[in-house]
Amino acid sequence: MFRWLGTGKGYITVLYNLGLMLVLGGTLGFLMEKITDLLGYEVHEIEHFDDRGKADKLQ
Amino acid sequence: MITFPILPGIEINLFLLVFIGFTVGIVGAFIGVGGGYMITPALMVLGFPANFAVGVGITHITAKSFIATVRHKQLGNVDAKLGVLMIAGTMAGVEIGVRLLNWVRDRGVADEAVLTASIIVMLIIGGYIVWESTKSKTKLDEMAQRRERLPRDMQLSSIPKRLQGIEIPPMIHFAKSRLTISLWAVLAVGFFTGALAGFMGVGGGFVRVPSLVYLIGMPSIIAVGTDLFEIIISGGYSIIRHTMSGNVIIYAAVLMVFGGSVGAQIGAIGTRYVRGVSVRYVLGYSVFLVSLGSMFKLAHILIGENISWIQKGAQVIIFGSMVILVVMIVALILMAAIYRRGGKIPVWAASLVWERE
Repeated sequence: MFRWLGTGKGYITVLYNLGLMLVLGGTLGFLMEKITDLLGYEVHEIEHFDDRGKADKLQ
Repeated sequence: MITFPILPGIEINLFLLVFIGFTVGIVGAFIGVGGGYMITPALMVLGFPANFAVGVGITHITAKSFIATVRHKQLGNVDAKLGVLMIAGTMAGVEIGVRLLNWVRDRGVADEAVLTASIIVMLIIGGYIVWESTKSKTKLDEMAQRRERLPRDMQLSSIPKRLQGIEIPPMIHFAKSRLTISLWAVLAVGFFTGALAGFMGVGGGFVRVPSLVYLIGMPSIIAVGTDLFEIIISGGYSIIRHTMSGNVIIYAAVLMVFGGSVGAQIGAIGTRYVRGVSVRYVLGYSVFLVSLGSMFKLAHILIGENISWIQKGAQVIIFGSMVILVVMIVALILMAAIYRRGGKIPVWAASLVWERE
């Protein structure tokens, strides 16, 4: 039914493709987050600098 | 085998599409690139016409980079402030790069010359990354021998200090990356990387990530997250352009995003397990493999069409490089996991992995 959207060039197709990729990205990203939570994997911030606590206080 | 009709008369294996999305998802999220340079030739090997290969690739990259950026943000790897400011310079640079490419072509310089120049640039960038990473690793190994505490990231370029020393207002402090630098330096680096990417006809992640590290002075893993953040915006713009040109087969892109969403998790979370030098190693080798692929492309142009050994060679390079990079990343993650549990890993690998949670 929506075959015409596949390789269309109009503004509706542009909005559809852009929106679909953003919605799909957001939904799958959210889903993956939940799956990692379910697996019990804790995701926390990486320590990029060894003196993190000290430097943050200085700022 | 489940095939998928993408265009009249062209059917593609569904699982291969998901697999390409998955592998490029791992590599892209780990080294901070979209991976168009791997996807486009891979899709062409599967049977996509060139324009559709580019359009589908960039469309899926945008969604995949969104997924990877969300994860990198949770990991504290995205310097959004620097990313946003750099985009202006990058966009202007891309425009100039594309115009320069067209200008050169209009003056009769053949595609071979442009491609040769691109290969030389890639070999220089890849060569420098591998050389610098090797030196950094040697230094880390020496520190380990002296039983000193090893830093998360270390790089040996002196350019960031010089650039940060140029105090042309407005000077901006980037808290995430812990650096203060002139806005003009950020825009100039964005412009330079954008121009190179535009001239070479690529997205430019493999130029931008080393530039963020070696020119701006950003930690490698933050450069990865920040570049993926930039790709969402530049990729969104590319979706608009390619859709208007009729180059996007959205169903194929959706299938690849499913594979990419899983791969992106592995790649992004993988950065928790390694030191910055490991990311640069993988990036350096990936740039080398890209230049090899381009050499086959050059050979194809120079020798002529339909030479079977060149086409076979290109296929081996494309799929081989994707597998090699994934194996490198997975091996690093596994070694880090073993090391954290008190297991033994090769001595040379100890300075590549991050031993703490």
